[in-house]
Amino acid sequence: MQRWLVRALVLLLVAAVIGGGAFWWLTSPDRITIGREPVPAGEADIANGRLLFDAGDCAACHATPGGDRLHLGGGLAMHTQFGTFHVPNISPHETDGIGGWSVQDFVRAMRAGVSPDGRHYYPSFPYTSFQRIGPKDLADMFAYVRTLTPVPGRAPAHDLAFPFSMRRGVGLWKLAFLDGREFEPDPSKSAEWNRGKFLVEGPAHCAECHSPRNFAGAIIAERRFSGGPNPDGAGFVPNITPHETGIGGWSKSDVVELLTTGFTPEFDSVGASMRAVVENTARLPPEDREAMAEYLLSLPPVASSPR
Amino acid sequence: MLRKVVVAATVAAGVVAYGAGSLLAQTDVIAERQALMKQAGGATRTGSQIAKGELPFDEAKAKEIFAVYQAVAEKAPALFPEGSDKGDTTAAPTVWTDKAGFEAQFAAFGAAAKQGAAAAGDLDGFKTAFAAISQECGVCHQTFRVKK
Repeated sequence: MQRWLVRALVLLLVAAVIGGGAFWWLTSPDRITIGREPVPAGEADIANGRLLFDAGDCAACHATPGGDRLHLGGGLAMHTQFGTFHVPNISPHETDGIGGWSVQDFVRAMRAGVSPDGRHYYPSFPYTSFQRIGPKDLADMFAYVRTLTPVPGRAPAHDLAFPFSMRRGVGLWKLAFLDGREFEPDPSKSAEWNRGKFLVEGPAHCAECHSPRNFAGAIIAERRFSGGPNPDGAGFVPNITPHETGIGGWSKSDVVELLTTGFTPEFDSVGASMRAVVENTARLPPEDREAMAEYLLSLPPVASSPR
Repeated sequence: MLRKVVVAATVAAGVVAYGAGSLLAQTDVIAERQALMKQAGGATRTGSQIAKGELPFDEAKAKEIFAVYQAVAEKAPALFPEGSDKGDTTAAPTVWTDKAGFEAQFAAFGAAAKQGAAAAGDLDGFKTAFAAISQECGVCHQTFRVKK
């Protein structure tokens, strides 16, 4: 063989080994420090946990389709452009659900998207929003979930197209899109606005569906909340900024009404998966729905992307 | 030869005209069912105002709301013919893949509307019946309408 060819091949091999090593190192779940924050000692507040569970619409995805909303056996199939995600069992079942988890496992899963056995979760599980919730609130949610009925059975594995089928690649995605910052109140704003921001940006994860995403499947920051194609099927998820193409002109009580009964100001009733969201937001204390409305109506108005 | 061309052209023109006609008919049927849903929305607005005490209770008006719902339940299924899934519509594909389920929803809605009218003789009866039936809007939209 020609010497230059041998050299070129050796060089390529070295580059591949270095590249592969760098990828492996960069994408390691162990490198992520988010979600290792200590959980404050003391008794969990189960009522607060239930409130956050409802605000988080956990049941909307994790309840076994067609069953009781608090039977969190999973199994819902989400068909996306990356493939089909099968929502897992998060009931307190010892082996099939999260019954064998520690509270720290739960905090780590919710804030860093890392499983107790050290693997990445796909961001179809919206930990990019849940990272805003602090360890104390998460411990309360965990305590509440543990009071629910254990449901046996596991959902099938996700069925994704290459390269998304490479779970490790999620590590790269997290480098770009996961910052681990817990919600911080803005002292220049009212307590109501801050509560609303916490709920909307954290547990309720509204932006996850109501925002357009880029080629990497991440929310386009400057178009946050301005709606976009439905990531999980047909249709268009509406703009929820106060722009004329969104909820511009809505009053606070209009937004509260939607989150309570599902009716828009035109008395159209929201459909598709928003229905399950309203079933959850309807359970919140009225002042929390008002806080969410206060924050949503304070967002910068952004025009909807073309349909 | 010429005759063949004329015949072919006539047939082609006929096919085009027929196609355009059915397309037009579908646009009409989509507009028609949207107008019908708007009527239901209008009735719901009035109902919501009465239930919240923003409008005084009036038996005739209360019963009219359920009459509108009943009319919607009767007319709606025929406004979703095969092929009307294309165009400016947010009807979900399930309307056609689960036609029996879709029609059963409207049948149940019609029956609930009839019962509601009978129960709407006083404000309390109206409120209970209205709260129950207005939930049905969302139940049906969950399965049979896409996000919009």
